Amino acid sequence: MTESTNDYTVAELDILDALRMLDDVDYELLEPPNSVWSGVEVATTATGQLISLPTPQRLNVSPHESVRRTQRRAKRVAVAAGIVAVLAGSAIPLLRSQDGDTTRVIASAELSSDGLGGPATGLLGTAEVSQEGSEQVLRVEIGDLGPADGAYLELWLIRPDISGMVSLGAVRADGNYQLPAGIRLDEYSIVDVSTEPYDGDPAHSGNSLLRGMLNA
Amino acid sequence: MVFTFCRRAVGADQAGDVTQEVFIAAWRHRQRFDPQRGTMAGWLIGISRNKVLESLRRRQLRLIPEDQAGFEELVSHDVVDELADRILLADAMRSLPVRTETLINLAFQDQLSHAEIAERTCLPLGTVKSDIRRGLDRLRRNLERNHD
Repeated sequence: MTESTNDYTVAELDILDALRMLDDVDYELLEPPNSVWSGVEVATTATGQLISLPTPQRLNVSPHESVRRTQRRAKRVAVAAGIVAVLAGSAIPLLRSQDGDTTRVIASAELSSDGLGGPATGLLGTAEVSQEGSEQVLRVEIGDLGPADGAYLELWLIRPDISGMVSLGAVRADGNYQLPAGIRLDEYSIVDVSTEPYDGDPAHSGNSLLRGMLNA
Repeated sequence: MVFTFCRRAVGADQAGDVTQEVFIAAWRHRQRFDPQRGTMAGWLIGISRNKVLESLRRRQLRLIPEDQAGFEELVSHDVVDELADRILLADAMRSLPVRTETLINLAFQDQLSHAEIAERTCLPLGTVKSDIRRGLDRLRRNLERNHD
């Protein structure tokens, strides 16, 4: 080392040494194929039929290859940026709900199977959120929807833009679910009942039986 | 950055699949990311490292009969860890302000002292010192991988 050694702490010299070891190839940024982002998009949005990430603005010109490429790139960037933004956002502490000592209904939803494109049609249900002291409790009435063999029903709260979903667990006979402390119902405003195979995959199957939007 | 790491660690054939696994895992475990404990890049590289090791192990299981003892040792954690650190450091360098990056380059490539750098760049010595100190500190913090 040279006379410059005196300018640095040991920890700083370690970093400088590490930098000296880097090759040009370490600085290269390679771009993954499109299929990677579309695969991630499918897996993280749980379903292609109900949900799609916001697509980039369509360009009003003839689809030259360069334009299509730009759109594809914009889409990829949107998917990647969306994931990173949500990942970062999830680290922000959720606001605590206000304490109260009486039970009162603070939001409700009519659930329906209409428009879900799922296996069931004509199903209806209700969901109601009450404030019970410092806790929020969701009550769901969905009648008897005996799921198919090898599957069970799961209850979810979902953001309308599908940037996040919270599982409230398997649907139970008593229909009462304590909500995670601090969850914002104006954000997670969709109540969703899905049918889930016993495949060990904790993500949403993409098969929803009932869905509805909470109105505060 | 994630794809670059996977591409070099597991090769072109598997890199896409492993990258996809990384982002899906990151999404599923997003609650675990704690900005108090490290950067997003460090967290993602930590996940990437685990997925790369899993992929290398899977490949090895296909190639080597299960009853053959000691197959674990063939996957070199050290090599993967070193690569992860290199990619993370290069990424952190890219994220520095341009002036800081230039000064740090002079410091490690040309091995110049702070005084020599100040002379060459016509910047005040105090600026050179504080820029380099802050930049190196940021690089050091960016190098902290999250291993969970």
